Amino acid sequence: MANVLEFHDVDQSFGGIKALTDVSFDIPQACITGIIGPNGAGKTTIFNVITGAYRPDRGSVRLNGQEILGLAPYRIARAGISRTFQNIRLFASMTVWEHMLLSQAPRTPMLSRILPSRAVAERGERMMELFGISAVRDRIAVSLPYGVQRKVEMARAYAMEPKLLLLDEPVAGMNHDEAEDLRQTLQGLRDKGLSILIIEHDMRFMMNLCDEMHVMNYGRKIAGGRPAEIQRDPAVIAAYLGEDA
Amino acid sequence: MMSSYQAGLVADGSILLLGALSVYVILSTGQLSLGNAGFMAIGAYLSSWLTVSAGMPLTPAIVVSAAVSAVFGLIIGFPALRLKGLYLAMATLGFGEMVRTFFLNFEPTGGAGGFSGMEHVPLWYILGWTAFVLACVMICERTRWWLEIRAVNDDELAAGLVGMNTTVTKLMAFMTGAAIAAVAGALLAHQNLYIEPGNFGFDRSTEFVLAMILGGSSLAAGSIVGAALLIMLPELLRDFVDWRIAIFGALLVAVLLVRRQGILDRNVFGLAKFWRRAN
Amino acid sequence: MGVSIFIQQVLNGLTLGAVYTLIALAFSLVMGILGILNLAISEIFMIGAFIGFSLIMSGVPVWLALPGAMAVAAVISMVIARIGYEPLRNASHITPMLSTLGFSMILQNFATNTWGSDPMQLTLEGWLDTRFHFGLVSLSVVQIVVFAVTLGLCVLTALLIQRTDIGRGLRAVAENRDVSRILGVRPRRMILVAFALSGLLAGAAGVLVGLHYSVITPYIGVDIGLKAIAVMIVGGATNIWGALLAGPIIGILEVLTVAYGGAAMRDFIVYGMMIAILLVRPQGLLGGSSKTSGGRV
Ligand SMILES: Nc1ncnc2c1ncn2[C@@H]1O[C@H](COP(=O)(O)OP(=O)(O)O)[C@@H](O)[C@H]1O
Ligand SMILES: [Mg+2]
Repeated sequence: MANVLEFHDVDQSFGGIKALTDVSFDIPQACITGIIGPNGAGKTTIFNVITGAYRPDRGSVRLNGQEILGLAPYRIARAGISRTFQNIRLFASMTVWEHMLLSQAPRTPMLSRILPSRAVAERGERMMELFGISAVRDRIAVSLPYGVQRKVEMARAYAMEPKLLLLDEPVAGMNHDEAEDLRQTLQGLRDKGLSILIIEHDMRFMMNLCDEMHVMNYGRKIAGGRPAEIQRDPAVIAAYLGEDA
Repeated sequence: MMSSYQAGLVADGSILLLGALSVYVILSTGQLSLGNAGFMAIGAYLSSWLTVSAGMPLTPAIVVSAAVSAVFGLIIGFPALRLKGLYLAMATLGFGEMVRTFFLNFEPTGGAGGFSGMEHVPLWYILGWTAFVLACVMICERTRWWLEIRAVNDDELAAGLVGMNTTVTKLMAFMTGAAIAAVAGALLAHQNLYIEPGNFGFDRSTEFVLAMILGGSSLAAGSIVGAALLIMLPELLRDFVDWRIAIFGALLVAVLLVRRQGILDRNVFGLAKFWRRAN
Repeated sequence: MGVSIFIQQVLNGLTLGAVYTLIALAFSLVMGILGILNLAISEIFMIGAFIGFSLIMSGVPVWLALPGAMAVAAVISMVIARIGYEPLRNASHITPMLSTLGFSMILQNFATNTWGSDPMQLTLEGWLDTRFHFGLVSLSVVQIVVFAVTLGLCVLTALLIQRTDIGRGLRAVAENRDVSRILGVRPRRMILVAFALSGLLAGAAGVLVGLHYSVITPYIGVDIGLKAIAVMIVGGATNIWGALLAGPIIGILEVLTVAYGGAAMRDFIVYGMMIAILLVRPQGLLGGSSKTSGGRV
């Protein structure tokens, strides 16, 4: 199976702190790949390296075989990687609907951004339906409850027609039923060919959701494989599961 | 029928509206310009020179001046990308003062003595340009391009990470603002028939900012309210005409304290939409 | 001949530079400690000049007129802090700046209505009207007063900030307002102190400039005061002491420009220098490394 993304030998440090040490993993096409690990393990940093927010000291990140390390964040986003944020970053002045329109703008030429477009409007409607936020379309997004804001972020990210979708702790702030709905939505997207990389703390949720998982601890990857294998890995049990149990 | 005095007020109000819009477009990306009088000066001097010395008809002269001013906007905008908030405000203030002193020293356009010889434009011509520019801005406000502009203001980093080229967006805003200010300058020159560098000082730049902030900084319609207010208020307060500036200053402080977004805000129209749907 | 004219120009430049230093210090106290640009400082400076002038003309001796004008300026500055800054201190930095712009409009309008917009002339008498001659170079008593007062005020400000509890509080607020509260500093009080200090310095600068030029208009705020922003930037906006270096540099530069390049060029040079510094070295000549690294995601 082909890989959408190859994340190889990445080191990232901030002053004295080494946030990532020699981290490598691949993300296969049309799979849901999970990253777990305790707080401060470096999970969000991986997202920031992939999306170009941070420049790592060393390493390589390839999207469909093309090196993207060093590109400006907006170029990486346009190349087909979109993301959500652990600390939600919605646009404070905009309604949910405006988020849907906006996220489709960058990939279209200037002139068509000025003209109204039926295709854009329709896609926006579909995104809101998919994530169950049509009812709040005219509300200012940041005024909504956290769980709903996360859905808006996901809809915004998916509206950009990504090849790879990065989700940073999307279930935080959602109740059990909402999380279950989200799991089904994401698996549906995967079955249609989308590749997803997801960070989440909830082990049970991740076990049911992911096709593959990688475990981070203190900036290093300590394990990777199918969820069932991860669950049995002694290093993982020591570092992460043991702590929770 | 309008008296020539009233016509003058309407013309002043239109030019002020254009100036306020020029600040508004730039501020929509989160950048405050305190130097738009500089762009206005470029528009005023260049268009006057084109009509008087080069014999060009006014409309193409205005178009050329706006284009040249936009290029200056680009030249200023590029370094401005590195500066944020107050530092950008101070840099634009410096730019405005530099343009003013440039014309003070520039003898071909009269230096400190000013420049004259322009032909008077009819009021409808000024109103026509104002309506045209206003319509353009208000139409742009409804496009996805404008959402990008607002996104840069709301959260520049996130805007980049969701695929927006924030550099281009900010530069375009600067160029657009510079062009609009130049139109305002050209109209001012052909309304007053005499221009001097002192017309384009710091107080002019702040007048634009004032009109926009008072009227409402989150939508173009706010500038209409602000410009109208600044022009009408002295008429209503004849007895206090000497204290006009102080009253404006107090008004500015009061608005910032009580209603930071200005008199109008987006919700005014949101409310209208809500009513329509409810009925 | 050429050399002595040059020295004379440098002396005059230093006098102007001293005034710039004081106003720039006033700007950067507020900017460095509270992170806001108080545009009204340039008008407080102008008001200081008029108060000082009026006192001297009504017979008050200079050594009393100076602190009198400084006190008035400080009070105005504190009023601005309470009404125009404090309620807005959690808004984006542009908002309080705009409110100080409102106050500068009020102050300028007040001055034009009270003292008229024609230049106001002061005839210096007695010991103030003395000049010392050294060959072709001369130095007036007023210039000596300007230097002495500037130096004295800078030293006092430095002592206050570095050696006293108030200074420690100010520096704590500059570092981090929330942490400073935990340390027992009262930020509201410190805001008031910073504004008051800044007003004192601007007021003194006003009196000195009035003495030096012996003529003032309500427009010196815009003509001279605003240029102190350029001085602050060149010195380093977040480093209060940058003004001590940049003030004299710009003062001399300006006077030399007038002498050798024409009077109208000087603002062009000064603001040009500010923009150049903003682009090449935004932290200014004396600022530390700039802290504008990319935000955390
Ligand atoms: N921009 C930054 N500056 C300094 N340290 C950072 C930065 N981003 C992350 N770190 C540090 O890197 C480590 C990993 O952080 P992060 O990737 O956010 O962890 P998590 O696995 O919880 O998402 C932490 O110690 C964090 O403090
Ligand atoms: Mg994280």
